[in-house]
Amino acid sequence: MPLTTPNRLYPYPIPADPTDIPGDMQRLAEAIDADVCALQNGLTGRPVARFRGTTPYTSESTARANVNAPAAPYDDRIPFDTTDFNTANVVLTSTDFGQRLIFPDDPGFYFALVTVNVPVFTTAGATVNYMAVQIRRGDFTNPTSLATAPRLGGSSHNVPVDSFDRNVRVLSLAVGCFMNGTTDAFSVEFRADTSPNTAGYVIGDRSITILKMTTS
Amino acid sequence: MPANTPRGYTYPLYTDPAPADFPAAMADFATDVDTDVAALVARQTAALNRPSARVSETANQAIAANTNTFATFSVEEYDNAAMANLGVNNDRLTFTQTGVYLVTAEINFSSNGNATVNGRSLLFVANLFGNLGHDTRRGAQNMDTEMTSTVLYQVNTVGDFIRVQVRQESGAALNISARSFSATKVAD
Repeated sequence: MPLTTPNRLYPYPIPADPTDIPGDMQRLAEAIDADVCALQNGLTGRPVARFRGTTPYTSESTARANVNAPAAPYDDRIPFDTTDFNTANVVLTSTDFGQRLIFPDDPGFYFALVTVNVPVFTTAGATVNYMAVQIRRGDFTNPTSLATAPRLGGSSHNVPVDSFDRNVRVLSLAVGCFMNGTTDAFSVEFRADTSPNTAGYVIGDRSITILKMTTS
Repeated sequence: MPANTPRGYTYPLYTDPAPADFPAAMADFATDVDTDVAALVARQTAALNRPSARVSETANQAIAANTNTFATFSVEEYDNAAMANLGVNNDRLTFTQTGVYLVTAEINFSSNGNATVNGRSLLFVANLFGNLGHDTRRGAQNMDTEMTSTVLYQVNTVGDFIRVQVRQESGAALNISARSFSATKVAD
């Protein structure tokens, strides 16, 4: 009755077994072969994904109160429409209003980097007081929930974009956080405030790059 | 006298007794491969589960004007490597493995209405030296200012730690409210 090794369960004979050198060698070789193949298949590199939004997008009206903490923050989600690469099993949801979530389907600690190109504000007579990009943790199963949508991070500016920015300012923001693989989804939000109030701020290209750092 | 491959797998030589000791030789070989592959699997698992931590806070912390102050945190959201020990030190992440870490922090400065606005800054400070990376910008009289910074930091000694230092120059105290601080190892 052959025994097996303690960790990988490779079979080997004991002296009481019938002598069968080729057979014993074959069973051991095949067990090692299958195990090393499985090990090799797991060497896939770090799971990563990047999504971009490529068409201009107009933010919500700047007339709302509490612009940096609005009552319905999902109004401010910006859409992404292009997948550059995705080995991390991340689901990019619909670009429809109220959706626009980026859902990692596997639990783990993730690092996410967001960039948003913000061009010069072109509405005559209006001054920009504030612009910000935030990452929140939305609920993939209840995307328009007004319940907890925890703010994971934010980056703001209070100075209007102008020629000193070469007419485009890149707002960038990075966060590291745990996502549970069942409900947690990244929500990337842009909001602006102007005086007087205006219909919204048109932003340009934006991206989110995601690295998966742990498996649980 | 058996020999070994470079990875340590034992095999018999022609001069060894045979075939009576074949089962023992095969057990020796199988055990060597078992140990080696188990170590590789452990390394692979470790590579997919990098030491990572995130701490956060939503309660206000008053920051006096023109005073370097370390941000504090009370919520340990994730920590798979005992980097956060907020009950002992609520202002830092302490590295428990050497390597290169991706460190990021973000701070929300509330406004205090002061006509004097001036600047806000966020700075990473390690136990050995400061200014690993920082972000500065003009504040606002009546709007929050959200700041973020990210650095790659090489840890050469277990026990090294890193903190987030903030400063504001509005002429009066103001609060930092929501904030977070995280680190994840990206290389050995």
